Amino acid sequence: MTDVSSLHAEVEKAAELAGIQLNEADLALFTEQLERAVMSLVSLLELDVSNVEPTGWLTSSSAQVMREDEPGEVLGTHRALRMAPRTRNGYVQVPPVMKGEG
Amino acid sequence: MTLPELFQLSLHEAGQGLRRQEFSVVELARSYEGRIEETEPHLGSFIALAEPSLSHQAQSLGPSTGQKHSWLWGIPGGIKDNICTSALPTTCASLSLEGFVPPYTATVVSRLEQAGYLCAGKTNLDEFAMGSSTETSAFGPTVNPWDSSRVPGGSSGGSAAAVASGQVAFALGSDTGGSIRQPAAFCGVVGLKPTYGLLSRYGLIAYASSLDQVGIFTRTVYDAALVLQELAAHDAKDATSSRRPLVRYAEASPYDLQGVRIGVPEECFGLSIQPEVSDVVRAAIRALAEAGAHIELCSLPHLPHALAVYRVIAAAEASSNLARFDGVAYGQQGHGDTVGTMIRSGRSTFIGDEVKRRILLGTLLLQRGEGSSRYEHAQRVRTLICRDYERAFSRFDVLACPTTPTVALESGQWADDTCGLGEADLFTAPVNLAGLPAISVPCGLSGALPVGLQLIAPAHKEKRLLGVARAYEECQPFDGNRRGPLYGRRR
Repeated sequence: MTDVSSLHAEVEKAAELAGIQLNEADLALFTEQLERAVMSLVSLLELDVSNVEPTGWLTSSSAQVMREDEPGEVLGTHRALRMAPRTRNGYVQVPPVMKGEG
Repeated sequence: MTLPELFQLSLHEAGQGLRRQEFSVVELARSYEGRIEETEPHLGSFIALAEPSLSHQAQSLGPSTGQKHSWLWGIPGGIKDNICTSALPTTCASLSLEGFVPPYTATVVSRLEQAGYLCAGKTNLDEFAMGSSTETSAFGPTVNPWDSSRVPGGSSGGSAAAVASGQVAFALGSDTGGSIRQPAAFCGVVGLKPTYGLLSRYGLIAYASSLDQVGIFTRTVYDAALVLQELAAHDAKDATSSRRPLVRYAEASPYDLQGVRIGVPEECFGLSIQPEVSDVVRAAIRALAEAGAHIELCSLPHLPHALAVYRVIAAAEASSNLARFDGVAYGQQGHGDTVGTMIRSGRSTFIGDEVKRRILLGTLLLQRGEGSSRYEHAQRVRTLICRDYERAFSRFDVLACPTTPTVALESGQWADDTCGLGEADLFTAPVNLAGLPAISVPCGLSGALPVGLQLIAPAHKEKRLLGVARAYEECQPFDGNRRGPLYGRRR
């Protein structure tokens, strides 16, 4: 957890997963800053909570999240496309998914 | 004695004046317009001012019909710019959403519109609500109206500064780890974070979904009750919205404090708190005792772990929630010859460093660890924190503690507060982990800067919380002479 060289590699991997480009200088700076953040969690992670149930949500038992499967108000193509940075022939336009396509 | 300017009236006083037709809604709107014109160049409370202007909105409301209106009818308010408005851009103070106009309006704003409020504009915040100083806004910082060399707190610093300086009578904010109560304390106003689920989150752009809650800034506790009254209702568009019967919060009279049991978590005074802040809050608690409340120390033994739990949960949920900002369907788009490079280019260019760090931390925490994830580990400790509060509320009606460990810091002092490593949320974040209602009430000054008293109640006991807070306000009023920015001219 505290090995800086392994953290450097993990930050690089996290950046790839999160869709964030980092140059070498940013990667070094972010690794240093994130190391402090990760180190601040050490005493928390040492607590033995294996017999404790996790709390994910605090919604009261009276909240009924299920509803009838009926269509409600929809956004509609025109309003949806109005927000898109690039459109073409009534679709959102993006570059090819893989190099060489398109 | 000179008569107050209309913008200096509390929401309730302004509402009474409109009902009695002592002044018109257009006169009230013009007073606020003048105040905004005077103060906004120095404060930077707003990312965008509303179009049409307040007085044009007021003219379209028509004449007052007396008692039939909501208390919010004709009252100018501000909306934190991470709450969607289809009539105004919603940016989250991020270049990635610059110019983005949502296709729908958040339920809380729709309810304000139905009540006839006047929208002054969208208030500034730390980018994507990640911060404690309103300095990470891509559109420039907001300054503290009490002292322009200080931060207003954050992330809802624009809302707090706007209410404190008289630019609006009330404002909405969001509170994930203290983002309403902390700036309320720093700016000398009331900040209410309701129970998780009481106010709809539909249209609140998510930071950490299990913690986020919309809340309210006002100048008095009763004003907060009046706004809460308008906003609290079940919303089918929010799966976590409470279905509990509606409560008449506006009827939350000041409590008779005789016999009210108030617990004071000893951990709050043992942690790194400025002695001057501690003194002011202790004096406020003594005032509650002198008014008849039974005060006793109590313990929240897992409180020292709460900030770490908050950091893990908030970062993990943020890394997931902010994955949607890819510039494909809306927002600013990057460049690239494939979708992947385009998305990476856009996120790298238009998202600020602090937000990137928290996304990366969350991504790290979700992928690291053997067996259960770090996120799940934090959720288990969260259970212990919830149990601490349950035990405390078996003995006490409310808890009282400082809202923040310090007064407003100098600008720039939060530069090293990466990933929320600072302690601004020390006393507020635990409340979000337990989903409880809490309020920050101005309780005095340390030097020339305001200090907040935080009161916390069991879930859905807002009426009790407001009643005790009103009683405190009555026994130790934060009078006009001490509300510097509201009465001061430009600073």
